[in-house]
Amino acid sequence: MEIKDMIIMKDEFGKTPGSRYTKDGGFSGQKFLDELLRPRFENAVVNVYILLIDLDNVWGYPSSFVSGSFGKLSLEKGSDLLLKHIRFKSRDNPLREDIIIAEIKKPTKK
Amino acid sequence: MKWLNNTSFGLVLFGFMFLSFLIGVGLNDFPLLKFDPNIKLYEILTLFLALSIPFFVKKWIEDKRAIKSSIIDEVKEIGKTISDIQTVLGVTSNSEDTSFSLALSDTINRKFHVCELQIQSLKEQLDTSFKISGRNLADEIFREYVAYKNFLTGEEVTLNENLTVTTTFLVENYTRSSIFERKLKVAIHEIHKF
Repeated sequence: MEIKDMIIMKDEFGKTPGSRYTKDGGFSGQKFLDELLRPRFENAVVNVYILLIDLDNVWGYPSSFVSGSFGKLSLEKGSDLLLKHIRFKSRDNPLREDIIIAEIKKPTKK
Repeated sequence: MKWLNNTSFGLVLFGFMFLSFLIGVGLNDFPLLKFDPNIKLYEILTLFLALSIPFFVKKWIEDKRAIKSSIIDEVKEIGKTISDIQTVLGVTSNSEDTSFSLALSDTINRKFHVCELQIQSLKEQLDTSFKISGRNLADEIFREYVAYKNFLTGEEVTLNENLTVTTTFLVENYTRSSIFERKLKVAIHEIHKF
Protein backbone atom coordinates (compact mmCIF):
# COMPACT_ATOMS: atom_id res chain seq x y z
CA MET A 1 0.00 0.00 0.00
CA GLU A 2 1.16 3.48 -0.82
CA ILE A 3 1.10 6.61 1.31
CA LYS A 4 -1.37 8.91 -0.47
CA ASP A 5 -2.42 11.33 2.25
CA MET A 6 -0.72 13.13 5.11
CA ILE A 7 -1.93 15.06 8.15
CA ILE A 8 0.65 17.57 9.35
CA MET A 9 -0.38 18.20 12.93
CA LYS A 10 1.27 21.59 13.36
CA ASP A 11 -0.28 23.00 10.16
CA GLU A 12 -3.66 21.30 10.03
CA PHE A 13 -4.52 21.08 13.69
CA GLY A 14 -2.43 23.05 16.15
CA LYS A 15 0.77 23.15 18.14
CA THR A 16 -0.84 22.54 21.51
CA PRO A 17 -3.00 19.40 21.52
CA GLY A 18 -4.89 19.36 24.80
CA SER A 19 -7.76 17.65 26.50
CA ARG A 20 -9.98 14.73 25.54
CA TYR A 21 -13.32 16.44 24.88
CA THR A 22 -14.19 19.53 22.83
CA LYS A 23 -16.16 20.98 25.76
CA ASP A 24 -12.91 21.17 27.75
CA GLY A 25 -11.62 23.69 25.24
CA GLY A 26 -8.41 23.95 23.28
CA PHE A 27 -7.27 21.53 20.63
CA SER A 28 -9.00 18.45 21.96
CA GLY A 29 -8.69 14.83 20.95
CA GLN A 30 -12.39 14.73 20.09
CA LYS A 31 -12.03 17.72 17.75
CA PHE A 32 -9.04 16.11 16.04
CA LEU A 33 -10.87 12.80 15.72
CA ASP A 34 -14.09 14.28 14.34
CA GLU A 35 -12.61 16.89 12.02
CA LEU A 36 -9.46 15.26 10.73
CA LEU A 37 -8.53 11.77 11.82
CA ARG A 38 -11.76 9.79 11.30
CA PRO A 39 -12.72 11.20 7.88
CA ARG A 40 -9.18 10.93 6.49
CA PHE A 41 -8.75 7.44 7.95
CA GLU A 42 -12.05 6.23 6.48
CA ASN A 43 -11.01 7.58 3.11
CA ALA A 44 -7.73 5.70 3.39
CA VAL A 45 -9.58 2.45 4.15
CA VAL A 46 -12.11 2.82 1.30
CA ASN A 47 -9.45 3.76 -1.27
CA VAL A 48 -6.86 1.31 0.12
CA TYR A 49 -3.93 3.55 0.93
CA ILE A 50 -1.89 4.66 3.93
CA LEU A 51 -2.47 7.88 5.83
CA LEU A 52 0.74 9.40 7.19
CA ILE A 53 0.52 11.54 10.31
CA ASP A 54 3.36 13.98 10.90
CA LEU A 55 3.64 14.50 14.65
CA ASP A 56 6.57 16.93 14.60
CA ASN A 57 6.83 20.55 15.74
CA VAL A 58 4.08 20.21 18.31
CA TRP A 59 4.46 20.81 22.05
CA GLY A 60 3.64 17.34 23.31
CA TYR A 61 0.67 15.01 23.11
CA PRO A 62 -1.15 14.64 26.46
CA SER A 63 -2.42 11.15 27.28
CA SER A 64 -6.04 12.39 27.29
CA PHE A 65 -5.63 13.72 23.73
CA VAL A 66 -4.08 10.47 22.53
CA SER A 67 -6.78 8.29 24.11
CA GLY A 68 -9.55 10.67 23.00
CA SER A 69 -8.46 10.46 19.36
CA PHE A 70 -6.32 7.45 18.44
CA GLY A 71 -7.59 5.33 21.34
CA LYS A 72 -11.23 6.07 20.56
CA LEU A 73 -10.79 5.38 16.84
CA SER A 74 -9.07 2.11 17.72
CA LEU A 75 -12.06 1.10 19.87
CA GLU A 76 -14.40 1.95 16.98
CA LYS A 77 -12.50 0.36 14.09
CA GLY A 78 -10.07 -2.07 15.66
CA SER A 79 -6.34 -1.71 16.20
CA ASP A 80 -5.33 -3.95 13.28
CA LEU A 81 -7.17 -1.81 10.74
CA LEU A 82 -5.69 1.38 12.19
CA LEU A 83 -2.15 0.09 12.16
CA LYS A 84 -2.67 -1.17 8.61
CA HIS A 85 -3.74 2.23 7.28
CA ILE A 86 -1.92 4.72 9.50
CA ARG A 87 1.81 5.46 9.72
CA PHE A 88 3.50 8.07 11.88
CA LYS A 89 6.41 10.39 11.30
CA SER A 90 8.17 11.84 14.31
CA ARG A 91 11.75 12.85 13.74
CA ASP A 92 11.76 15.27 16.69
CA ASN A 93 10.58 12.81 19.26
CA PRO A 94 10.34 9.13 18.21
CA LEU A 95 8.90 8.18 21.62
CA ARG A 96 5.61 9.85 20.65
CA GLU A 97 5.09 7.23 18.01
CA ASP A 98 5.65 4.45 20.58
CA ILE A 99 3.14 6.04 22.98
CA ILE A 100 0.46 6.45 20.29
CA ILE A 101 0.93 2.94 18.89
CA ALA A 102 0.71 1.54 22.45
CA GLU A 103 -2.61 3.40 22.90
CA ILE A 104 -3.92 2.06 19.57
CA LYS A 105 -2.99 -1.50 20.53
CA LYS A 106 -4.43 -1.17 24.01
CA PRO A 107 -6.94 1.70 24.00
CA THR A 108 -8.23 3.29 27.18
CA LYS A 109 -11.83 2.08 27.54
CA LYS A 110 -13.70 5.30 28.35
CA MET B 1 49.41 15.87 21.60
CA LYS B 2 45.92 14.66 22.35
CA TRP B 3 46.59 11.43 20.48
CA LEU B 4 49.10 10.43 23.15
CA ASN B 5 46.25 10.02 25.59
CA ASN B 6 44.56 7.18 23.74
CA THR B 7 45.39 3.61 22.84
CA SER B 8 47.89 4.74 20.21
CA PHE B 9 50.20 5.82 23.03
CA GLY B 10 50.56 2.19 24.17
CA LEU B 11 50.95 0.94 20.61
CA VAL B 12 53.61 3.51 19.79
CA LEU B 13 55.49 2.63 22.97
CA PHE B 14 55.43 -1.08 22.16
CA GLY B 15 56.49 -0.24 18.61
CA PHE B 16 59.50 1.68 19.89
CA MET B 17 60.45 -1.14 22.25
CA PHE B 18 60.25 -3.69 19.44
CA LEU B 19 62.21 -1.45 17.08
CA SER B 20 64.88 -0.88 19.73
CA PHE B 21 65.12 -4.63 20.23
CA LEU B 22 65.61 -5.21 16.48
CA ILE B 23 68.22 -2.47 16.23
CA GLY B 24 70.04 -3.92 19.23
CA VAL B 25 70.05 -7.39 17.72
CA GLY B 26 70.96 -6.05 14.30
CA LEU B 27 73.99 -4.12 15.54
CA ASN B 28 74.97 -6.98 17.83
CA ASP B 29 75.31 -4.36 20.51
CA PHE B 30 73.47 -5.98 23.33
CA PRO B 31 75.95 -6.09 26.15
CA LEU B 32 73.55 -5.56 29.03
CA LEU B 33 70.51 -7.53 27.94
CA LYS B 34 70.82 -11.07 26.74
CA PHE B 35 67.97 -13.27 25.71
CA ASP B 36 67.80 -16.19 28.10
CA PRO B 37 66.93 -19.35 26.10
CA ASN B 38 65.59 -20.96 29.30
CA ILE B 39 62.89 -18.38 29.62
CA LYS B 40 59.36 -19.89 29.65
CA LEU B 41 56.47 -18.83 27.48
CA TYR B 42 54.28 -18.06 30.50
CA GLU B 43 56.99 -15.71 31.79
CA ILE B 44 56.85 -13.74 28.55
CA LEU B 45 53.06 -13.66 28.82
CA THR B 46 53.28 -12.45 32.41
CA LEU B 47 55.63 -9.67 31.31
CA PHE B 48 53.24 -8.73 28.49
CA LEU B 49 50.31 -8.62 30.92
CA ALA B 50 52.24 -6.53 33.42
CA LEU B 51 53.06 -4.01 30.71
CA SER B 52 49.64 -4.02 29.04
CA ILE B 53 47.53 -3.50 32.18
CA PRO B 54 48.50 0.15 32.67
CA PHE B 55 48.19 0.92 28.98
CA PHE B 56 45.10 -0.96 27.88
CA VAL B 57 43.05 -2.28 30.79
CA LYS B 58 43.31 0.90 32.85
CA LYS B 59 42.35 2.96 29.85
CA TRP B 60 39.45 0.65 29.06
CA ILE B 61 38.19 0.97 32.66
CA GLU B 62 38.53 4.76 32.57
CA ASP B 63 36.72 5.02 29.23
CA LYS B 64 33.85 2.89 30.52
CA ARG B 65 33.65 4.99 33.68
CA ALA B 66 33.47 8.18 31.59
CA ILE B 67 30.65 6.73 29.45
CA LYS B 68 28.71 5.65 32.55
CA SER B 69 29.20 9.02 34.15
CA SER B 70 27.87 10.80 31.07
CA ILE B 71 24.83 8.51 30.86
CA ILE B 72 24.14 8.97 34.58
CA ASP B 73 24.17 12.74 34.02
CA GLU B 74 21.45 12.23 31.40
CA VAL B 75 19.37 10.26 33.91
CA LYS B 76 19.78 13.08 36.44
CA GLU B 77 18.62 15.61 33.83
CA ILE B 78 15.39 13.64 33.39
CA GLY B 79 14.93 13.80 37.16
CA LYS B 80 15.39 17.57 37.05
CA THR B 81 12.72 17.95 34.36
CA ILE B 82 10.30 15.98 36.52
CA SER B 83 11.22 18.23 39.45
CA ASP B 84 10.37 21.23 37.25
CA ILE B 85 6.84 19.86 36.91
CA GLN B 86 6.55 19.64 40.71
CA THR B 87 7.76 23.24 40.92
CA VAL B 88 5.17 24.45 38.39
CA LEU B 89 2.41 22.68 40.32
CA GLY B 90 3.74 24.02 43.62
CA VAL B 91 3.71 27.59 42.30
CA THR B 92 0.12 27.14 41.08
CA SER B 93 -1.03 25.78 44.43
CA ASN B 94 0.39 28.87 46.15
CA SER B 95 -1.11 31.35 43.68
CA GLU B 96 -4.57 32.96 43.72
CA ASP B 97 -5.82 30.89 40.79
CA THR B 98 -5.23 27.26 41.72
CA SER B 99 -7.31 25.82 38.88
CA PHE B 100 -5.80 23.23 36.58
CA SER B 101 -6.08 25.60 33.61
CA LEU B 102 -5.30 25.03 29.93
CA ALA B 103 -2.23 27.22 30.34
CA LEU B 104 -1.00 24.98 33.16
CA SER B 105 -1.71 21.88 31.04
CA ASP B 106 0.28 23.37 28.15
CA THR B 107 3.22 24.13 30.44
CA ILE B 108 3.18 20.58 31.76
CA ASN B 109 2.94 19.17 28.22
CA ARG B 110 6.03 21.15 27.25
CA LYS B 111 7.91 19.70 30.20
CA PHE B 112 6.84 16.19 29.22
CA HIS B 113 8.00 16.88 25.67
CA VAL B 114 11.43 17.85 26.99
CA CYS B 115 11.41 14.75 29.17
CA GLU B 116 10.63 12.55 26.16
CA LEU B 117 13.52 14.03 24.21
CA GLN B 118 15.82 13.32 27.16
CA ILE B 119 14.54 9.75 27.46
CA GLN B 120 15.03 9.23 23.72
CA SER B 121 18.62 10.44 24.03
CA LEU B 122 19.20 8.18 27.04
CA LYS B 123 17.65 5.23 25.19
CA GLU B 124 20.01 5.67 22.23
CA GLN B 125 23.06 5.97 24.48
CA LEU B 126 22.15 2.94 26.57
CA ASP B 127 21.54 0.97 23.40
CA THR B 128 24.88 2.00 21.90
CA SER B 129 26.96 1.37 25.01
CA PHE B 130 25.30 -1.59 26.71
CA LYS B 131 23.23 -3.31 23.99
CA ILE B 132 20.44 -5.61 25.30
CA SER B 133 20.80 -4.83 29.01
CA GLY B 134 20.89 -1.11 28.20
CA ARG B 135 17.86 -1.41 25.95
CA ASN B 136 15.93 -3.27 28.66
CA LEU B 137 16.77 -0.61 31.23
CA ALA B 138 15.65 2.16 28.83
CA ASP B 139 12.36 0.30 28.27
CA GLU B 140 11.78 0.03 32.05
CA ILE B 141 12.42 3.78 32.49
CA PHE B 142 10.07 4.55 29.60
CA ARG B 143 7.29 2.37 31.08
CA GLU B 144 7.43 4.22 34.41
CA TYR B 145 7.53 7.53 32.57
CA VAL B 146 4.38 6.68 30.58
CA ALA B 147 2.61 5.64 33.81
CA TYR B 148 3.36 9.03 35.38
CA LYS B 149 2.50 10.97 32.23
CA ASN B 150 -0.78 9.05 31.95
CA PHE B 151 -1.64 10.17 35.47
CA LEU B 152 -0.89 13.86 35.01
CA THR B 153 -2.13 14.31 31.44
CA GLY B 154 -4.71 11.53 31.42
CA GLU B 155 -8.36 11.09 32.24
CA GLU B 156 -7.99 11.16 36.00
CA VAL B 157 -6.85 14.77 35.90
CA THR B 158 -8.26 16.20 32.68
CA LEU B 159 -11.80 14.84 33.11
CA ASN B 160 -12.14 16.51 36.47
CA GLU B 161 -13.57 19.88 35.39
CA ASN B 162 -13.25 21.54 38.78
CA LEU B 163 -9.80 20.26 39.57
CA THR B 164 -7.66 22.62 41.56
CA VAL B 165 -4.06 22.21 42.57
CA THR B 166 -4.62 21.66 46.26
CA THR B 167 -2.26 20.17 48.81
CA THR B 168 -4.11 16.86 48.46
CA PHE B 169 -3.50 16.92 44.70
CA LEU B 170 0.15 17.79 45.23
CA VAL B 171 0.55 14.83 47.59
CA GLU B 172 -1.11 12.50 45.07
CA ASN B 173 1.05 13.86 42.26
CA TYR B 174 4.19 13.57 44.37
CA THR B 175 3.38 9.95 45.19
CA ARG B 176 2.97 9.14 41.47
CA SER B 177 6.05 11.06 40.36
CA SER B 178 8.21 9.54 43.09
CA ILE B 179 7.61 6.08 41.59
CA PHE B 180 9.17 7.32 38.37
CA GLU B 181 11.95 9.17 40.20
CA ARG B 182 12.69 6.03 42.22
CA LYS B 183 13.08 4.12 38.96
CA LEU B 184 15.57 6.75 37.78
CA LYS B 185 17.58 6.40 41.00
CA VAL B 186 17.63 2.60 40.73
CA ALA B 187 18.67 2.98 37.08
CA ILE B 188 21.76 4.94 38.18
CA HIS B 189 22.83 1.99 40.34
CA GLU B 190 22.16 -0.43 37.49
CA ILE B 191 24.25 1.66 35.08
CA HIS B 192 27.14 1.56 37.58
CA LYS B 193 26.95 -2.25 37.49
CA PHE B 194 27.12 -2.51 33.68
